[in-house]
Amino acid sequence: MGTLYPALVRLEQRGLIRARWDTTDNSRRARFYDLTAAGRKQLAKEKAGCLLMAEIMSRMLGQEV
Amino acid sequence: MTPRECLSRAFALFRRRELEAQTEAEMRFHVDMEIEAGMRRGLSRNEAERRARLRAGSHASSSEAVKDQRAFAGLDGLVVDLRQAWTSLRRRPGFLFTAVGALAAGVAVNTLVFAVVYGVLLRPLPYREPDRLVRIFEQSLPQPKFPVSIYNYQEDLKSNRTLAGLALYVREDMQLMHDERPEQLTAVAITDTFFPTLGVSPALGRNFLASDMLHSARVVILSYAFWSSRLNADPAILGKTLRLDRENWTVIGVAPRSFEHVGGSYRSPLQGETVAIWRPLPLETTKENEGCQKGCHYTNAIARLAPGVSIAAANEDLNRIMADLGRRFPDFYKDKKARLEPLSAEVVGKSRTAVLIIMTGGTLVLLLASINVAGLSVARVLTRRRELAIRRALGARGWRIARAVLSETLIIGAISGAIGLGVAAGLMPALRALLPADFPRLHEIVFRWADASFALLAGLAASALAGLVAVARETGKDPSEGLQEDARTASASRGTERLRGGLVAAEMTLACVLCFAAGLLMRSSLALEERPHGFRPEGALTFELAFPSQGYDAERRAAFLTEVVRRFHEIPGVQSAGFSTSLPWTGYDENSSFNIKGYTPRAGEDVSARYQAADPEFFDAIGTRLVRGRMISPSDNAKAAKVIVVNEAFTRRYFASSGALHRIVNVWDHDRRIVGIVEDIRDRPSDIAAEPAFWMPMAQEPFGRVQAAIRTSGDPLTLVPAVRAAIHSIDRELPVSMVQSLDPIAAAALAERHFALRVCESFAALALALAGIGVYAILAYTIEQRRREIDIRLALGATRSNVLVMVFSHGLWLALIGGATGVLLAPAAGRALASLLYGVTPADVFMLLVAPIVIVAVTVLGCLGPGWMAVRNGPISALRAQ
Repeated sequence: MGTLYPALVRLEQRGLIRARWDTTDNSRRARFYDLTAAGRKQLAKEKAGCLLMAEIMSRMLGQEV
Repeated sequence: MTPRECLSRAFALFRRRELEAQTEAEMRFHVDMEIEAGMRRGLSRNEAERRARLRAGSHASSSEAVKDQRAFAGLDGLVVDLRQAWTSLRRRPGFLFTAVGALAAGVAVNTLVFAVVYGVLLRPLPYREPDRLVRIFEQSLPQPKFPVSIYNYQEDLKSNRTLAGLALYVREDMQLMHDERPEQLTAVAITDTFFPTLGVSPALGRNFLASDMLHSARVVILSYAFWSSRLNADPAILGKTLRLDRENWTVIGVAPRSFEHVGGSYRSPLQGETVAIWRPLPLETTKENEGCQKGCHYTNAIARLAPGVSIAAANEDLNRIMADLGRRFPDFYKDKKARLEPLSAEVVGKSRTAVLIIMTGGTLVLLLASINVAGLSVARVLTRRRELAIRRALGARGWRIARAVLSETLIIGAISGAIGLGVAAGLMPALRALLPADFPRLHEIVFRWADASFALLAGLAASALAGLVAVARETGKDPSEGLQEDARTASASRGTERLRGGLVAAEMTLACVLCFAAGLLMRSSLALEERPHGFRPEGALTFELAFPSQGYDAERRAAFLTEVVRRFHEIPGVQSAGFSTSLPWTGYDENSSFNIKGYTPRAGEDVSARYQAADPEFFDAIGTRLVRGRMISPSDNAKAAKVIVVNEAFTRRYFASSGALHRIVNVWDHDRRIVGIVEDIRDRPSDIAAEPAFWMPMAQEPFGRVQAAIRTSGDPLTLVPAVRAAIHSIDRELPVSMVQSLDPIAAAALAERHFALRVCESFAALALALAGIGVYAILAYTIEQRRREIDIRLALGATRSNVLVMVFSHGLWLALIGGATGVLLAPAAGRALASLLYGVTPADVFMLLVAPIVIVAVTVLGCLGPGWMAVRNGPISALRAQ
């Protein structure tokens, strides 16, 4: 929790996620986090970056082995 | 950090409690879920709770981490730090009072000083693009800064290539008949180009036209203030007539609200809303004034540079025109040049030195206050060394330590800022009262927040910087050292000690220089007051009479003056009464050239002197003594042979080797014999010497504007009603203006010098007080550091005088260094003041001795407290403390 919550707060400050209180399926009050439009854009960007990195890594490692 | 994040964090500062509760609730939710899940798996409630908490990790540290992320990590604890700083400051009232006192004094003095400097020097003049406005003078060897002649103006206007506007103005007061009471109004004659050059157009009506610049023109423009206060803002004023100088003048315009006339030192009103009426300045050439158009210099020229033109370029352009005039009219313009000065510099005029003294003195005081606060905050860090070492040992990082120190600075700054601002705001009216009434732009000197905040920030920055330097020195070491050091009662590191000593010595230096400067001014003032004035100001009533051109020819003016003096003598208490063209010490500066029979002028010599007229009793009335020959007598009338009386400066200048009496001087195309020599009166009391001057009998040259002096045995002002009655019994419409006794005129002439002196004295006193506080603080701190050492010394048999010698020698050593540096710098300060000095040299030996002695005296005073602290405890206390 010492890692997760500061990270959530940071994302919220950057406007990538939005938080709200709501009730769960078994009717308990909980906090829900949604991606914002900016968040979805950022996610796509990060995803692409990760994939690119994975590809580079696999090629490099593939060649070496 | 993006701006968005910043904003979000900033908002979080204000909703901290709410956000913390949210985080808290959210975390509990997860723990609760975890517990439920555990219980579903069949764990006992206690066991499920235990496992859930293990998984979630330390609750406290997670919420700390969220808190840090939420807001500005560094700021969060600031409130706590501030509260702690306040508590610890309250426990050390000595430190708090000295620091707050020094900084508050610095803030207050500087707020006042910058109000003056800004209002007088820096604030742009209230005209469109004031930087492009300049004043123009004619420059020649004998007259470096002469008003321009009208012909020169016309030529410049016609042929210049660098000016966007050029105008003349000259003060020519007018008399208004208002409800049967004559009154003198400040009026200025201007050319049609005057308002356009300043970039101003009338609020009502029209400007003067080129065709109005005639002797016969009877049109005026009124000031907004005059129009609204005296004429009830009459909307239909245009086209109406006012009775001025016994004639009807038609109002053609009203100047815009708050329009300020241009100030200056010669035939000008003060800068500000000081003018009631503008009238046309006649430019036409007639038979009578043909020579005067080129040869008379009494009009002030003001010009606007064309866009992008420098003063130097315009000067060159006008010099070209002057050179051409010199070729065409060598009698008037040979070897003359144009001289241009920025308008802003001219407006300030002779008060520039005073303003610069104020500025320098004020800056020095701020510097002193800053050094003082800096020294104190270094001392404060040193006394907190142990506490800071403990903090560091417990893991506080640099920023936390710095914050602890800065929060004390912040509190001191807030308190002294509030006090300093209060004092400055309270003293502002006193300052304006202290300034001479003819100080330029007095109305612009107002309290300004910007000045106050600048002073406060400078003081705070110095204090914070010094504190941080000390902290940096301390944090460079292993914290354990700090902890141990204290146990060994060692004193501060040599470097820090030297820093503090240096700061105090620097204060001593500044105080020494200020003390020296104040001493020079004081000695000059004493020397000036010891000189003979050349007149006796007490017991004389003075006023001005201005004859209108209409109905008063020379003969009638002379007859009027003779008759009115006769009637003055009928008033009980009047001893003598006379008229002249100027009163002493009013800065009269009207010169005329002349020829002396049998005197060959040296090459380039300007044979001229102040020309004046006086009637028989004038010198008696102002109390001026006759040195040789005789005074002007009633028999020196229009029909008698023309004579003059000259002053001693005149005889010194032109008759150094031979006697002046009975020599013939040709003035204004008449031979006049010198019949008497009177003692010198300087133009202004602070002038080094009097200028040559001569007086013609009023009956032979009756001027249109005359000054009266009436000497009485009692209070001169009690004569006023009788004097008025006497004048109005002859002419009901003649206004009596500027009625006052001679005393205040003399006092006003000395006001600027007194002001500079008082300012310097108060700065020096403040500087000495601050330096004394500085010595006190450093010694008190040292004593505290060496408390145990001193007590042990006393216990081992050292006498109290041994200890006192130690304390005093420390203080005096600093005084010696500071005083010596001060003495080295003092002559430079003296030279800066040179224009205000009289009877002392800039490196006056007496003051060079006195200033360091004062510094030593102040140091001894500063040492008294710490000395007593050192020996207060007997030897027993040391043993008890162990």
